[in-house]
Amino acid sequence: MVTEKLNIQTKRKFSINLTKNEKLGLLLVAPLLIWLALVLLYPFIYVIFLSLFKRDPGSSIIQFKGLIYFYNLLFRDDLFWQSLLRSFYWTASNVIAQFFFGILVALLLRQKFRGASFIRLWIIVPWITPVVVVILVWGWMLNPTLGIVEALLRQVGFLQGYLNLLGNVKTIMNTLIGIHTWRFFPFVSIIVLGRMLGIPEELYEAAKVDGASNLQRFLHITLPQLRGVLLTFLMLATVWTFTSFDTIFIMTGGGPVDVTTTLPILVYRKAFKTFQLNEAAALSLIMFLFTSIFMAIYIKLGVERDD
Amino acid sequence: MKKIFQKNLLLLLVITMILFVLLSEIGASKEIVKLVLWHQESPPPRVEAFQKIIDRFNTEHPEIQVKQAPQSWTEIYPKLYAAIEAGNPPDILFSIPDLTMAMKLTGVVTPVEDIVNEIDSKYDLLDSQIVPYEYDGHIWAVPMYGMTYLLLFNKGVFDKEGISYPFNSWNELLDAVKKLTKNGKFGIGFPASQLMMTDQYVYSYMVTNNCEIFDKDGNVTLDSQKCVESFAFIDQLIDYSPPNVVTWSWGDRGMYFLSENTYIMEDFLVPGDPMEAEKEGKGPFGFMRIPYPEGGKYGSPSYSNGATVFTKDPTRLEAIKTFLLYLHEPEINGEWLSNMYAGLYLPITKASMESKSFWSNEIIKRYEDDVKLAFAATEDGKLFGFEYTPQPVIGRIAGDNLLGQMAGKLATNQMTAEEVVKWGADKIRTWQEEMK
Repeated sequence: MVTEKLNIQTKRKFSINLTKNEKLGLLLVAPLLIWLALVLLYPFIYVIFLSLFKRDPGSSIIQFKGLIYFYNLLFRDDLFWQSLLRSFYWTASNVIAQFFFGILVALLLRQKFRGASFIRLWIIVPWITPVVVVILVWGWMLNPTLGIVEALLRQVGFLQGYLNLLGNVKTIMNTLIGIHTWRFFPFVSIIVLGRMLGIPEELYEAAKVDGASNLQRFLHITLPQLRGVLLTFLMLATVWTFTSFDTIFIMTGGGPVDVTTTLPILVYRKAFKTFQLNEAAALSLIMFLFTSIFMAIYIKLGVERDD
Repeated sequence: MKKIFQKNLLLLLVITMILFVLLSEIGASKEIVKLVLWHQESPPPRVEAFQKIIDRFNTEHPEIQVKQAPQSWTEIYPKLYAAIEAGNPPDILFSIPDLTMAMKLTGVVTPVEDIVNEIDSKYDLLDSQIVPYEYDGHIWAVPMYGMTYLLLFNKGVFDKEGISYPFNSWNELLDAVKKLTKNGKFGIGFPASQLMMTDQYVYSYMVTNNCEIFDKDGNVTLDSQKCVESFAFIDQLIDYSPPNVVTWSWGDRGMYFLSENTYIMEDFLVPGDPMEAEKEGKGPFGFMRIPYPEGGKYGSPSYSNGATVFTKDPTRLEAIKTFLLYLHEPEINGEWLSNMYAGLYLPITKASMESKSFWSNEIIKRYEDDVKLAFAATEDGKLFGFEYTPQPVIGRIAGDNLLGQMAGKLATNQMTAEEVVKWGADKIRTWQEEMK
């Protein structure tokens, strides 16, 4: 009798009693879940497989290699560490610059002046322009012999010789950061501006009456009100920038002499130029680990805020 | 009435089924072999030229139907790997030696010495075009056409500056480059970006100075004194090139040259673009062989484009042989190659080099002397890593554009010529160890 009762309780604990609506809901999302499993889950599992096993394309022979590909990356590949540090620099610089310019422009656009609506509409153009167009245009503008930027600087006497921002190993990375920031800061501006416009005006008025300066109002009213939006942006921008591939690949391909090679570029090279698929898979998982850490930090910061 | 209608309908259905079975049987007895051809010459005029020949072949050989699927050079490597992985590679791929080598290492490529020997015996195939595909006791692709580097120069500017041509030595080339670099213009555009284009430029000054990556025994010789000389010369040429050559893409060298911002470039024999620029008042332009230093010899980077075969089915192999032999028939070969892009795709059999269909092309006729120059360059053309028995590491050297990286390190003053050849040689030795 007791055993029977326990069995029934266990069955109840592990049985899924779905209502009719719940079953219908599952049925409706099932195609999407299957699709996600195929295009996300299966490739992810295959990447893990590639990072641990060796199999030549078209061959059925599989060799377990353990962590050798990770070991090769971490201890035998100088370019991995250089690319990793470069990725951190690329990400941090871009995120800080996008934050700075994004908030600055949002503050400017919050003011009421003639043409403000027009500018608010067109500020988004860099962000919506296809990246290939952005890179080609900037590449032409910064061309040292044929580009408009250096031609104008020479014309007004600010430049003798060539600046060659995209051909100089000391300036090329920062130039790419500038171009990438130019492309993405409008997105930050729009999001921040949208939140700013929702901050009650009475708060500013009250602070003004109390004698708070502009800076004090910004630090003690505006920023705290923007915290949620900024944290969200921080998470998105960090992950997007850390995994970004297109700007660098189109402009420099990771060169010259690897000075702009970040981790995504290195993954591409290993997978599709030198056919080191196993190392590329291991490197992809290392990148996944870093992005997971970023996400975990954001979630912790977000939880603390809620608390 | 209804019953009669139903009976008629049933009778019609039965007759249809019998006819279907009969026709299927007839179809089955004349089984068509369908072949899929991948190639990377995707501009529309080239695809059309391919299709014209394919349509003619398909009409003349109804038992074999060939279909082309043009790819792009940027995507062929990953796409081919994916196709092999899926068990669905093309039957034929028009490839270059390092791509064939990379595929051969996966074990899916079929040797084709029987086809090559037959073409050679019938039409006299250039040895230089077979060498890059012959190793491990077999020939791994059927050479189909050649693409060979020459030096292009601005004849108009040369005449104006009193520079004589063709160059008979490296010194003459360097003197000309120095003289022409002034007033915001540059004597030469020597790319230093990490691309195959840079590898090709660099190799021009290796092959003409007996600087080799490997010796005939497979030992790395990139750090030889000859190579130090070659890279020192390259360093000097880069000094007289536009300052942004480290980020040049494929189109930049032609753009700078045809807009007369540089006056010397290297490329395959592509008269079409210079012709268009001449109509706009630029140039005139000319071609010459790449010069060599004292103790060196003529040589050019030359790509033998070969048909790599992936099937092992005897029926399909026989069909492939028929198709490739057809493409090598001199008059068909000449017409096909001259129509794809006159001058760029060179016949590589003695018979095709003399075909009427090739020489009757208007552009070929106009550039007759330059085409003959290209033929001569093809006969002694070479490809880095494929001068002797190719080493498996060549795939890595080409894939990583190692020669291009070396030029980049010179251009950015990170290394001297002595340092860069040592760096390159050490890299290759490290890769060889990893591959063991």
